[in-house]
Amino acid sequence: MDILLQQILNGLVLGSVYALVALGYTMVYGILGLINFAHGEVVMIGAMIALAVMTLLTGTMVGVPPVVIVSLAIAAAIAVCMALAYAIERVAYRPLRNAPRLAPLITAIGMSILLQNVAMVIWGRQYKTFPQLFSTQPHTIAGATITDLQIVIIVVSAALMVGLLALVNFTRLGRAMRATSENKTIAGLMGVNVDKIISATFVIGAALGAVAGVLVAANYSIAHYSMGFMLGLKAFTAAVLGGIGNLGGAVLGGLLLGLIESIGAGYIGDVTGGFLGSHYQDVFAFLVLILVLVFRPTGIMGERVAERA
Amino acid sequence: MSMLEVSKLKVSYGGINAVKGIDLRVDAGEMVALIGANGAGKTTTLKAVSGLLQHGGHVRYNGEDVSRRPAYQLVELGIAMVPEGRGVFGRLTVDENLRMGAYVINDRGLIRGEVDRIYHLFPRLKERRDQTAGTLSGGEQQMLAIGRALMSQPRLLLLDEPSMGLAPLMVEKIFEVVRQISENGVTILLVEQNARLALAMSGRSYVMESGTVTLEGESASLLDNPQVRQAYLGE
Repeated sequence: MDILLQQILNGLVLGSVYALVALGYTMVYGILGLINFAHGEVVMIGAMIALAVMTLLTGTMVGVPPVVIVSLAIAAAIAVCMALAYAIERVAYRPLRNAPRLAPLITAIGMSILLQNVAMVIWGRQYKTFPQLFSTQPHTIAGATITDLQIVIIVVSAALMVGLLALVNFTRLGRAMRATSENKTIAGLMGVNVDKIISATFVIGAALGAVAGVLVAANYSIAHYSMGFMLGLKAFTAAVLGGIGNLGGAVLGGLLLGLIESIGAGYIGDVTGGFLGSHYQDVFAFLVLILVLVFRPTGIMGERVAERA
Repeated sequence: MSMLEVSKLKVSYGGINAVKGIDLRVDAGEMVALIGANGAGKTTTLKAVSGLLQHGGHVRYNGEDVSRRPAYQLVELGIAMVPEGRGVFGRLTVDENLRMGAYVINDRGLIRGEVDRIYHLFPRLKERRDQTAGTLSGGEQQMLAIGRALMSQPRLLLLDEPSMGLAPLMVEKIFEVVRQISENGVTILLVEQNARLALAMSGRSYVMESGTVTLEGESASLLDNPQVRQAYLGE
């Protein structure tokens, strides 16, 4: 029982990060019908920027409280990722707005590879140690343990998700985003500058991604130029599981995927009599992806895929 | 000076010349109809005027050349369009659709007042304010599309086939409102296949045929024109 509870807690932590990243995929898909495969790399760059800023500041600003340094690092990561996502959309996707759908998709994959390589050139190939942001002193809840950092991950992610849903559902910008995702021409007739709304969508998704990058790097205490790839694929899977294009679906899909992976990894050893171990964790995400695509391609909450295909 | 002045307007897409250099004008306060058969180029003309289609020739609005301006900029200048097929946002509520219409207006109090005015004009919409627009009937969607266009407080309203696909009773209702809008001083350019209705409603009309304007004049005299009677009024 303790193991199950522990895996559920771990799954929620993991799932919160997936959900944050999945929102970036699903927002862009909802408005452009594009799978922005470079989003995982934006997340990675968020982690890298935060790490670089923290390293720089701890070296130069001795005596400054760590909270200030961490906040500055996250702010820098968000700012850089927003600018990067704006530039990616402007340079790589906008010229292909009216091209056949395959063209921007391949461009997205190319952008992902490009960003990985640029990151490798800047930050090197080796794994970088991400500093401890919080005490690792675990709290015990009913036999399961959770650290301060894990609590922060869940709380921050939940707050951001609620904030995003409020933005999309109750503000003028959010209304324009939904209108644009439904019909760009008509949105234009309402006075909406569709290009600006699309940029805003990319930029908001990137901000969430930047935070997710910092959280995941902190959670594993590691940052690496390729960390965005697997995380991006998992988050994409989460978005598909929830129903791509649907914000609530991305949140649900992310949390579910985190739970499936975590519980799967926790029990796979027992179930297979030790033949397969917890390092097969990644199998579950892709098993889920395949099953969803075969049996319910619209995902749990989505209808749009069928509508748009 | 006319409010809207279109000169030598040419639109072609996919190698087809849909509009072949037409001239038309709409003076402030007028209701002008553009009638003609299916495929005559009426909707294309309206789309070009509203900034949705690239075109040759010139579109002047209050003397300013707006030919190269995209649709979203024209809304701020006071041009609103009710598109063919209504184009409501089906996943947004009625209320949200109306608020989208007021996208270019920043004054919250003004928007609230306008929403109330539209609900007064179309009580049916008020009853359904929290329903998504996709669940409305065709006539209700047309009311919503017109109400939404009015939300931007336009000086020039472009109406594309407001009677399309509606029951006769609903058509009557919609056109009653169009008449009210016109009486309130909004200038209207109306594209309509129902020629009898359009000619009865409007002051002046243009008749389009395969991309050109073949006849123009007072609507009342066009109603008596034997050519028009035969070709468009089925007599």
